[in-house]
Amino acid sequence: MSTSDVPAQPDPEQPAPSNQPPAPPPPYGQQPGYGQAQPFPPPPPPPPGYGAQQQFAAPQGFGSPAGYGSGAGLKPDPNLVWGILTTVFCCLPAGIVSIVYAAKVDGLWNAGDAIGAQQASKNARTWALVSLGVSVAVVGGIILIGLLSSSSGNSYNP
Amino acid sequence: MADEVSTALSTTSWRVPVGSAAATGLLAAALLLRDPHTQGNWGTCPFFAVTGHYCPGCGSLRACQDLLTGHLGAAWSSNALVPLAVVWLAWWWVARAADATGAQVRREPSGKWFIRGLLATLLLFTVARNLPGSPLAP
Repeated sequence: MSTSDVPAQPDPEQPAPSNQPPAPPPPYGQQPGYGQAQPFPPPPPPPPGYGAQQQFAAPQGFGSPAGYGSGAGLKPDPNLVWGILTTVFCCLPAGIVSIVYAAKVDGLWNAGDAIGAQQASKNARTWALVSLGVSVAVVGGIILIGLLSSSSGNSYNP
Repeated sequence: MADEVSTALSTTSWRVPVGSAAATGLLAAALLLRDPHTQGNWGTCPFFAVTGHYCPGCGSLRACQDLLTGHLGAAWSSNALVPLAVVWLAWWWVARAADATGAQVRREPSGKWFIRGLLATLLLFTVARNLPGSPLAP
């Protein structure tokens, strides 16, 4: 079980030290009239994708440039690694919830919702940690019971 | 859509690649010391215990142990998703290690359509391995 940012801390009660600082105010949402107040016609719509988002965000001074995924025009990491780890190597259903949130990151980001994308990224990590914590607790509890009773009645073994 | 530019920040620490490698090493050692093929050694899948059906992760510990001991066929039959997931995870790790060194490496696939495909695969796999006599059962 490799971890992304909190190695050897599988406890979901302890929130992961996020490397994504608090999100800055949304420049996208505040500018619905992008191009409206300008005397010349608005520029052609940028092609969807990463490069266009960065071009749009950069002149706004959006976010602090410090750090990975800090919102400085960088798409937040969907934290898919957590969802895959906890779904394939741990248990349902929290891992699936994590993957569903990871799937939202891309769409929200491409729609210009940087805050929503960061929130989805965070939720993906949180739900994976829930799955991980439950799994560790269950496996640890079963091993403990097995050690105490020295006779395991388990018919199945994950 | 997964072709985002590699961040390649030279300030990115080695914490993620080193920590994940260390955690992987610990788990590998634990699986070699305590064989998951022995019933009860690693407990029971909670999903299986409650529902009586296999979840997509059932058999993954045995599959990991099979991979560690070089039994690819056994790993495939314990959990067919594990060998595939290991490839993706290795890609993930290489990309993070490249970030730490500043090298440019294509990011692991994590776009919208990849994840939708992943969810569909998980669903189909879960159904398929619960069919009677399924070769995908753990």
